[in-house]
Amino acid sequence: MPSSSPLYARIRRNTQFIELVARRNRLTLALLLVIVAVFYAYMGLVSFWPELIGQRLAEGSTLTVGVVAGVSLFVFFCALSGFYVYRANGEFDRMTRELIAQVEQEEAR
Amino acid sequence: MNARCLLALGAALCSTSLLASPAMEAAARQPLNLHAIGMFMVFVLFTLAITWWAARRTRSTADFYSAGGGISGFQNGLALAGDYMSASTLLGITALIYTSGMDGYIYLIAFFAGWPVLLLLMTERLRNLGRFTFADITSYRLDQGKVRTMAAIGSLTVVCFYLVAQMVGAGQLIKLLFGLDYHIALLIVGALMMLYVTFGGMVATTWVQIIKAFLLMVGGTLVMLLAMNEFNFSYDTLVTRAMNIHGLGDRLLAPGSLLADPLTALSLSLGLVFGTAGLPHILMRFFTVSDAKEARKSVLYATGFIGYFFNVIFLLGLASIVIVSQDPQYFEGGQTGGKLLGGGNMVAMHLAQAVGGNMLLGFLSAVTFATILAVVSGLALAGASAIAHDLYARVIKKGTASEAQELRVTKFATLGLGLVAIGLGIVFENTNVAFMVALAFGIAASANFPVLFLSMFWRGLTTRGALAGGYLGLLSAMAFVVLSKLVWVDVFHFSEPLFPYTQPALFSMPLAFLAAYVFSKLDHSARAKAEREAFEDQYVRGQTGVGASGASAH
Repeated sequence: MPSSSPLYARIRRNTQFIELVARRNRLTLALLLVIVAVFYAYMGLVSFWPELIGQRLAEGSTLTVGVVAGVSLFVFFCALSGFYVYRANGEFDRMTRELIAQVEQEEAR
Repeated sequence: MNARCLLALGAALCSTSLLASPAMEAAARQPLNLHAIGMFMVFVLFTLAITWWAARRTRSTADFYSAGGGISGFQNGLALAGDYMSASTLLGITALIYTSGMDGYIYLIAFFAGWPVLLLLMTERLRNLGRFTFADITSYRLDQGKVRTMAAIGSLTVVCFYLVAQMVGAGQLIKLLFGLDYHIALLIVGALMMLYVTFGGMVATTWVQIIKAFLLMVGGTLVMLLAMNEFNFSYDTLVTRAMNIHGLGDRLLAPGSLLADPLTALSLSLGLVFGTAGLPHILMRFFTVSDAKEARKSVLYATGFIGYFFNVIFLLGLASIVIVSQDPQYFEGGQTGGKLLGGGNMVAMHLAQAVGGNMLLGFLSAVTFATILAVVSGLALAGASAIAHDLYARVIKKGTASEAQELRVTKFATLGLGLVAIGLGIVFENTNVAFMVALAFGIAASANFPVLFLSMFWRGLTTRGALAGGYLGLLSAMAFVVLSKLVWVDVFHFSEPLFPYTQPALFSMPLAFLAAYVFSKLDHSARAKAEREAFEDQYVRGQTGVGASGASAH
């Protein structure tokens, strides 16, 4: 392993690490719950309320609930993924870089 | 169309079974398709040139397994999409929408939902902890020999079943599209796969995937635009006319019988979502980028490409209801409503011919062939890395093998896998290989995923727990599939299945988790204690990427 165990121990005790992990875990869990809830709500409707899926949005319209909800689900999942990547690659990666710099400085002392 | 089979297999894969269904086998060989063969030759020459170029850059094991970590997020996103969208996605799901309407779209949604989950749960830690294979992570703090062997067996089982299913499907499809003999088609696919992987490793495989994903999306979009042009680009006109023509009428966009049983639907969606997170050839792609940041980006790109293309497929299916089902030239004996020429899977091809003539048909056929090649190459590479990196270098040689030795083993492993794939493809020519895909996904979700997930997220996992969970998941998934209709009735010809569901994940996945949990909890050995303590360091590395393998310098 390239890094020594003491470095990991130092990171683990670092308050910024604890903050980073807590924030990212909170976001991940929230998004995951939303995705699972939305997906299984859709699948649940398919199994238990198929008439709704096939229903037209308005009289004479060719847009049906299932297709509109389905397209929205594709877009929504892409947007959620984009939001996570935006936060993770921006804010969280910045926190990680700062944290590593901090710990390395401590180590040098 | 066989709805039960679709249930069992899930979207893209299912059509592999359709490709191998008796209806297809009976279909006559098509006359030689010169447009298709010409365009395919161009693809092969181009990709062989890339392989030659890649071979000169593939010197170390890191080059071979992970392209030296030098693939960009965008490139890897395309390659992931390429790995995920097999020929059967395009052909099988278009056919499903053509026959059953909304059910096909629901499949596409279920097949898509695994991607955000993969992004949130796996991407970051996988990239930060692993180097070449997912077994690197499973065995990170556990017994190298035993746990890696278990993970490699899981990997190889998934790869072998998936590979054989792809080969049989490929042989049937190429016979239809190109008018080539089944055995010749297998030899061509197997030989090209061996060439790409043996010489070009991950670099060549990645580029084959990228080009194929690009061609597939361009081809699909082109057919979609030309087809939509016939409806003046109005979804309204398209749906109205499709509903007027289709036997389902107004019910065309309502769920049909496919997902009527909630338990089957649940088991299927679990298998698709978590099976994806346990497919060795998909997981391996995360190591081809330089760091977690690029890995996240690549999943985002892949999600976008796949989401886009799945909606294109929906339009293709609807358009083919209007365009193909009304045209006698696409039916045997010119009888509309009868048997489609070449079998049900050919809907997308007929649509291409109808809107773009023989050139577009040839192009789409060539793309389909390229797609098969790309998917089998990714599988062969994943299999070769399990043999050479996990079993040979880490388990047998315990890390003492030189890079040159390991590289030599990867090449022999690739050749071996290629020969096995061709051989089994010939053996299973006339078997319904539907069960193999169900097995591949079932095992990926039940053997690979639970242990990998727990090793990254649960401090308490020990070697004993990992082995119990991994092997029980593997065996139970196999047993459930063998006792289900797919093997018990369709292959062994018994009258009643012993296990009522065709998709094992709902049952075998919790079994694996439970076994891993119980056996870990009961493990009070000193080694178990050390393994739990080692989680702390692994956790830091997984979260921050400190100590993660970077891109190798060139």
